[in-house]
Parts: sequence; C-alpha cells; structure tokens
Amino acid sequence: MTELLQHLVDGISQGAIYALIALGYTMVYGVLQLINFAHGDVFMVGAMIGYYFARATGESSHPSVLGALGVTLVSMIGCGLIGFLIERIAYRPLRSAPRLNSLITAIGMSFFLEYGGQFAVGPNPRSATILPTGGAVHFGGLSVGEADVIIVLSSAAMMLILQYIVFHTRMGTAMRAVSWNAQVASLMGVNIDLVISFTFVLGSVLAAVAGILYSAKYPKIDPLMGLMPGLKAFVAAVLGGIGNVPGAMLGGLLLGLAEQLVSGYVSSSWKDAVAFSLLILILLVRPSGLLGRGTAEKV
Amino acid sequence: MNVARALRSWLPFFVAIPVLWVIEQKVALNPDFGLEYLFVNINHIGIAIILAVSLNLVNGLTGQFSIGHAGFMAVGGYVAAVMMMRGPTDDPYRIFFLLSLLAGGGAAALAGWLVGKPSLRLRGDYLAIVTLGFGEIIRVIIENTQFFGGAIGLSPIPHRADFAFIWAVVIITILVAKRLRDSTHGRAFLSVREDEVAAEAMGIDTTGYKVMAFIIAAFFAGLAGGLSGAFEGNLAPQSFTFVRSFEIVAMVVLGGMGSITGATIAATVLTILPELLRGLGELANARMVIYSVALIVLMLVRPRGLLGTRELWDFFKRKAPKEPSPKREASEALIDVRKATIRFGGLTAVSEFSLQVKPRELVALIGPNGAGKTTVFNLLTGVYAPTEGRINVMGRDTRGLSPHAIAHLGVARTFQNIRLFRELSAFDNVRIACHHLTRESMAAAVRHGELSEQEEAWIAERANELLDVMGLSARRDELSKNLPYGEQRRLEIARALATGPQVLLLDEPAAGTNNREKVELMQLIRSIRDRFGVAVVLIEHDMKLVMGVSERILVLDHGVTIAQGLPREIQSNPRVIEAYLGEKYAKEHFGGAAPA
Amino acid sequence: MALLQLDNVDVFYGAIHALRGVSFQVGEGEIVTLIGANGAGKTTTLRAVSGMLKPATGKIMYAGAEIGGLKPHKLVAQGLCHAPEGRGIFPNLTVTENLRLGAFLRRDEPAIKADLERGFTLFPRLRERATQMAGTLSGGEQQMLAIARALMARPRLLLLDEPSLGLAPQLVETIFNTIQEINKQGVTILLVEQNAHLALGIAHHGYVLETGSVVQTGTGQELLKAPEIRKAYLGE
Repeated sequence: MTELLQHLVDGISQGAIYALIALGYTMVYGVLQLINFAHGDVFMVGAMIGYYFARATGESSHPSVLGALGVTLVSMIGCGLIGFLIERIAYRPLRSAPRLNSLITAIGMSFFLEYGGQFAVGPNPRSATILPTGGAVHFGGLSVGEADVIIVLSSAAMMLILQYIVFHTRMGTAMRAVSWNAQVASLMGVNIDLVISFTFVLGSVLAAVAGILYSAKYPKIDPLMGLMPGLKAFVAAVLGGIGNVPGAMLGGLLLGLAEQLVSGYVSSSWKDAVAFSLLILILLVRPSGLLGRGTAEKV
Repeated sequence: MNVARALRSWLPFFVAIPVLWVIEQKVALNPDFGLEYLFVNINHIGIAIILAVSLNLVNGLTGQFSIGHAGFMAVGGYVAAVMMMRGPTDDPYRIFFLLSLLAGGGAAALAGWLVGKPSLRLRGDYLAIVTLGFGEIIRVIIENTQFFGGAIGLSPIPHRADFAFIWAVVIITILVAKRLRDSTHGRAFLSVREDEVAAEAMGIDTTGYKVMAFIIAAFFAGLAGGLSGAFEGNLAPQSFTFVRSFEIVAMVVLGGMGSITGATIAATVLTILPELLRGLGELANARMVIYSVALIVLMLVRPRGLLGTRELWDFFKRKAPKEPSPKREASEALIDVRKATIRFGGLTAVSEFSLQVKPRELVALIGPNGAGKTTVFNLLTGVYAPTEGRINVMGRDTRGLSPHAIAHLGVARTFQNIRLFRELSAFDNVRIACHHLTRESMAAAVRHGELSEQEEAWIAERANELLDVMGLSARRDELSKNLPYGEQRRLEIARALATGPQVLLLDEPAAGTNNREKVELMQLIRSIRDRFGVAVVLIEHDMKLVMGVSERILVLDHGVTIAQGLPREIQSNPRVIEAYLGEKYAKEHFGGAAPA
Repeated sequence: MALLQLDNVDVFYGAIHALRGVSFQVGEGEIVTLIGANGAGKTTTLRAVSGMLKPATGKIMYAGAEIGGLKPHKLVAQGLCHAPEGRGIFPNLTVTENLRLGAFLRRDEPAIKADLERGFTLFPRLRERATQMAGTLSGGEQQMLAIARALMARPRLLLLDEPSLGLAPQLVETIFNTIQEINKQGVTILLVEQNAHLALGIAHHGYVLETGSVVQTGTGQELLKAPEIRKAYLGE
C-alpha cells in the first residue's frame, strides 16, 4: 500500500512539472494553432539561467528559500524575454504563411537553443543546487522528499495564479477570445499581437519555473535536457486537449502518474514508451483530447 | 512484356552497376590511394540521399508532415541486421545480404502501412505528432528488447555493404522517385498536397495516395537502415531518435519541398558540413547552430526551399496517342435527387430537395445568401451525406460513396472560392483531372511500361485540347496562381471537364467577373454543353447570366425550394421576388399576399 | 464633413479585384445602406473600413483622420464598431459574458452595467436568456446579441453586415425597427444588406454596388422607387 502511495506521490510530483511545461504548449496552440517545438528548450534555458545565477550569487553554496526565489525570478525574466523574442523572430513573420513553415522554424529554433547551448556552455552536464532540498518527510513507510513538497506546492501555486490570470483578468479574457476567433476578438478591441506576445511570455515564465523545480529533483542539467521532458509535456497537452488550459494540467498529472505506475510495477526502462503509447491511443480514439473539442473544414 | 523496352528503361541502372563495382574495388578499397576517409563520407552521403529522397515523397510531394522517418530506418536496419547476424557467415555473392535488405525494407513498408492507415485521416499537425510518437515508440521498444541488443545495440554486423551497393540503391531510389513523380501518379500525389478537397472532386483517392506515399517512403528508409548497419558494422538505438528524423526533414525542406534534385543536394551539403567544419576544432558545434539558423532564415525568406518544386530535368518525348478510357452509357436521369434533407445540429440547411437532371440540360440553382445552394452541391458530390432522402447519380445510390468515387461516376464540379492546384501549372492542373481515367499502375510508371507511355501521351493531348477550347493555350505552363482571375475560373472549368463528366456543376462561375467576361461566360457554357454533351447545373447570383443561359431554374430560400420553372416564369414569380427583395416589395408591386 | 468617407478605394483578395474605385460617404447621425447582389463587394467594403482588410489604393477617412490600414482594435477605441457577417458570437460564453466582451476596452464598471441594462431593454429576449450559453440561442437571438454586443463599446459609427441573413421575417422586422431606434439614440449606421427593400426603407441614403463599383446612389426613398433595383436583382 505504501508502495502505491509512494508511486502516487512521485507521479504527482513528476506530473506537476509536466503540467507546467504543457501549459506553455497549450496556450500557444490555443492562440496561434502552432506547435512550439522550441518550448521544451526554454525549460532547459530556465534551468541553466538558474544554475549560473545561483553560482554567481553564491546561492548554490548556501541555498535558502529567499535566495531560490530570487534566482527563480531572474530565470523567469530571462525566459520570458526569450519566449518573446522567439515569437517575434521565428513565428510572427510567418503568420499568414502555410502552417508547415512555422513548424519548420519551430524545429529550427529548438535546434538553435540546444546546439547553441552546447556551443556556449559545452555539452557536459552540471550539477545544479538552487533550492534548499535534500531532506525528507516521513509518514509511516512513506518518504516524501523536500524537493517533492516544494515542487508540488510551487506548481500548484503557479497553476492557481495562471487560472486566475486566464479566467479573471482582462488579458486572460482576451487570450480566450483570440483562441476562439481571433478576427472577431480584434473587432472588439483586442490587440492580437499583444495577446500573442503575452501568451508566449507567460508560457515561457512557467517553463522557467518548471526548469528550476526540475533541477531540485534531478540536479544534473545539460543543454539537451529539454528534449524528453519537452516532448512528454507536449504529449500531456495533447492528452488533455491541445489548446485547453485545464486540459494541460490534467494531462500532465495523468502522464506523470501513468509513468510512475508503469515504472514501478512493470519496468522503469519502459517509462518513455508510456508517453508515446498514450499519445497514439488518444489521437486515434479521441483526437481532440480528454477535455478538448474538434473543428471542421468549410468546403 | 516488351524486352527491348524493359532493357531500355533500366539501361542506366545496368550500366551503372559495373562502374560502381570497379570504383569500389579499385579505388575505394585500394589502400594505395588512401581514400578510405573520403569514401566513408561518400557512403554517408549516399545513405542520407536515400533517406531524404524517400521522405521527400511524403513531405514534399504529397505534403504530409511526417517526422518519424528515423523510426522506419530503424525497423529496416534492425530486421536486416538480425537476419545477417543469424544467417550464413559466408555470403560471397551477397545474395543473402540482398534478401536481408529486402526483408528490412519490407518490414519497414509494413510499419509504414500500420502507421499510415489510421493516422492519415488526421490533420497536418496531428499527423506530425503521431509520426513523432511512432518513431519514439520504435526506438524505445528496440532499446528494451534484448533480441535487438537493447541500449547497446547490435554488433558486429557483417560488413557486406560498401560504395557499390549503397550507391546502387541510391540510383534506384532516385530513378523510382523521378519516374513516379513524372507519371500521372506523381501528379496525383501533388494534387493531394495542393488541395485535398479539389483532388477528391477530380477523382483522386487522396487517402489511398497518402498511405501509398508512406509505404514507399518507409520501404526505402528501411533499405537505408539495412545498408547503414551493414556498412558501419553496428546499429544502436541512439542513432534513431527524433533528432535524426528532424535532420532528414531539414534536408527535404532545405532542398525544396517536392524537388528530388533539391533533396539530393541538401542531403549532400548537410552531411558534408560537419566534416568540413571538423577542421575548425571547437567550432564543430557551431555547425548545428549555423544549420538551425539557416533553417529558420530559409523559412522566413524562401519558404519553398532552395529549389521549390523544380527539377533538373523537365522534358519528355511523345508517341502516337491511344484512347484507353471506356465509354459510358447515357441513362435517363443523370442525377436524381429525391427529397434530400440535411441537418447540422439543430439547423436544417436543405429541406426535401428534389431535382432531376437529364442529359445536356442547362439548369440553374438560385436563391439569396445562405439559402443552401452550395450545400446542395456538396450533397451531390458526396462531401456531405444527406440526413434523409436519396441521391442517385448515374443510377447509383451515392450513400456512403466518397467524393472521388462520385467523380468517377461522372459528376465534376468547380468551387465558389476557386480551388486550383495553385503551385502547379495550368497544364498540370488539367492533367491531374485525367488521372482517374487511366489504368497504369505505379509499377508500370516506374519501369516505363508501354501502357504508361501511351497513357501519358493521351493525357497530354486531352489536356492540350481542353486548354485550347478554354482559350488558355498560351498559359499552358504558367503557375495557376499567377493567372488573372477570369482565366483561373476558366481553368477550373477546363479541369472539371478533363475528368470526362456527364454532369458539370458550376459554383458561381461569374463571381468577380465584369460584364464583358459574363457575356463570354454565357457563350462558353452553351458551347461546352454543345461540344462535350454534358448537362450543366449552375449556381449563380448574376441574374442576367442565369436568365440568359438556363433552360430551367430552381429557387431556394432557407433550404426550401420555393419555385421551379422556366426563366420568365421565375422572373415574375411573386414568391421569388419576395425572397430576394422582401415581402413589402412584393406586396407593393403585386398587391395582396403572395400565392403559397 | 462626413463621419466616414471613402475615396477611390481599391481592395484585392490575392488576384481578385474585389473593390474598384469605391467612393461614398456617411454623414453623422445617418443610416446609410450598401446594397447589391452577392459578391458585389458589400462585405469587403465593411471589412476595409473596420481594418480587417487593407486597401491597396484610395483613402478611408473617419472623423477627419485617415484610417486605411489601421488594425481593428485601434478603431474600436475610436468608436468604430463592426458586427460581422455570420454574427461571430462566442458560443461557449453566456449572453452576458458575450455582451461584456463587447465592452472589452472600457473600464467604467457602473457605466458598463448601465449599458447592459440598455441592451436588455432594447432586446428584451436577451434579458430572458442572460445566463444561457450563446450557442443555444436561435439565429435571430444571436443577431440581436451581435448588435447589442457592438453597442456595448458605445460606438459612434456602427457597421452592420447582413443583419437579416437567415432570419425569419417577423424577427427581421423587429431588428430593423431596433436599428432605427439605435439610430435615433445617436449612433451613425452603415448597413450592408441583401434585402434591398428593407434596407432602403430605413436608410437616409443608399449606394448600389455591382462587381466592386458603386453604380447608383440616392436617398432611400429615391432608390426604392427606381426600376433599376429590380433589374439589378432579378436581371430583367
């Protein structure tokens, strides 16, 4: 029983990180109908910025909650800026071009961040210490790491904030309006370019937080670390219904749980296959995702 | 089979084999020349070309976004490798190796079918995701299966492939790709890329072609995998991640979507680049950075890639034509619709619509905006299925038939918003529409069989004739997107006629044309009916045109047929006037209520 | 000076020359209607005015300033609102939420509430359905919603695209009466309609479009009596 609970805890912790990354994918798809392949690499950049800033300020030698918050803030700003630039450079000029072109530039951007990262800082993994973790809380046989607690709490906080932004602010309303019908939204005074930029920045900020949290649990970071988590988070977004915000959260959690359960009860080496099997299953059975709805083409 | 012809068509290949063999034995493997390193690169380039040219068939030619090509390479590579490692240790004539290669290719083709069949009905982005997923699943399965060597991989694999074998396959791949592309099947692939809806309406089985492209591409990727394993001597799952797939996609895109020449050049350049930069030492990583920047810049500046859809070659010779298409029986009513109704959710778009179209009739369908006229066309052509009622075309119930099947029965259409294959020439647009009348198989196209040459000639003549009739001969080789608006409309009509229909459905052919063009259009429609013997059903808003051309008019309003009859009857029908100009107007000009 | 003035405007959709040298004006406080057969360019004209399309040549002047090529959201801020063809309401929002979206650029909450009230008074049916999902409304009710939503931005100039499209006759009459009411309250209206008779009945001025050009103009009453109207529509 405790074993099951342990897996559940780990699953929720892992799922929370997936959810944070998935939110970025889903929001961008909602307003632009674009799969931002470079998003997973923004997550990596977030972790990297965190690592370097923590070292520079001595946070990594003496981690504290306050210091960690400072590092996270800097990372959020950095990633927000990068997200903004990616949209302006690689996607905005192609807004009226066939969608395929944007997919290619997205892939190009992804490569650029990965190999640029390897070029800039070398491919070797580093060990990041940003948050004061290491300890664990024990309930009976259940061991919940400090890292897990921080991850789950922080993610929950970020998701609540996002929920508030999307459903209770003017910008959030604008984002939703643009995702339903961009033309009509602009007729009501919504500045579409502004909304799209904001969406990218928001998603990138969440990815930065995910990067920092990830490094708390898996301190080894390297320029290619965004590949797998990014891909899996993307699967999570599709699972929940791409374009759907609560869907991304649900998808992330479900994926995290599924992975942990398979890893625990079947074999850990099949973990990676879980994500893709779920992906294919959902696309063949219900392409619009668990919480999504479909659209049709007019002849 | 004509022996001389077969020999002639495969001649380039037969000549190349001994040449390749000599090069391999005397130059590549000769330690005196010291060219081993060079040939390793040349072989890598060869494999990259096979991958890029095969993926080009799917991504470039057919326009489907697949990013899992490395997965098919892995399937082929591993199957071939396992066979070779468990097969005879001695294989002097490489016969067993050839079998293993083909087995690998076959396995990959099967995988292509398994992946393609269910996924190809998904929209662009989703297809990309699924192919990505499949590629990854294959890699994970391989990594976790001891039979395939797990994460460490398979080795040692007997070194059976070198320069000759690899480049022989390269030549085959390019030959097959070129011949397919130049055939009527190649144009069918292109039509799927350009506009699926229009392609279906012209009688092309779009899903079938997409799956076929997948299978063929997967087969060649499988061959590439087998060759790679036999050349390197080992295979590891890390070589088949989606990064590899992305790299192959980059080659196709950089080279130009649809261009075999472009894919070949891009594959060469992108494979050599890291080697050239190797001398720069630390800057080796810069290669990928430059590469990714180049990709982005290229998309922003030249979205169709370096070569676009153009090829090095673009010529053909033609012999005497022959007409292979069967004649059709003229039945009493070509189209017979009985009380067709269609509802979308709670809205009844068309209600109890009935129509009979007899041979050579000129019928018009009119009505205010939103009356349901295009919906009727969509019902007739199989885009929608009726909720109630029956639709018979050439005596057959169309329930369950896809649009391309109905096109085969003899119904052709044009579209309200013009759906030409924009990146193709006027000539190609019309030729594609002739495709469903041909019988040659893809295999025949590849080996330049006799039937295929005759049919190509027949198609060309037919297309030229139609372009002539429409006054578009001078524009034959122009890209259809560059034609002036009026000519685009005429081209769409020419294309529809090329399918050999008995009923032609024209959706607002006069939209956007000026008065002079409208008069010409009226004459054109009448002469089409006279010359080709087709019945014409017309949706139009321009009343002058409708009154001048139609023999019979149906008026729709809110999905209901409110009047039917001769033009002058319709003109003075109070209900019609009411529908167009309003109840008050009808009252004022006719006094009292309109008759029910 | 007219509130809205178009001078020789040309608009292209790719290769299609949709508007050819269109000129007309709308005086403040008027109802002006553009009529013509389908494909004549009426909707294209509205889109060019509201910023959804960019004119290739020519000038569009609103309140004395040139607006050609400005993005729609900027024009809404200046009191130019467009209720588009097909209504464009958001089906998975309630009626009230849709209405509030119309007031997106405004921040004066008490005034917004007052305008909501005005909207419900103008269209009592909407009040009944205030908390219903807009997707469940009938075509006529959705049209009312679209107009009421456009009014929430307190427009000076309101562009209406085919308000009678797909509606039952009784509803159409209600809507046209309401349009007149709105006009009396001070909103200038540019109305595009296929139903020429209804439109000309309430318009101060009318312009007839044919294949992208203005072919005739006059007061509403003048055009109503003109035999050319019937010819243009029924091709006699």
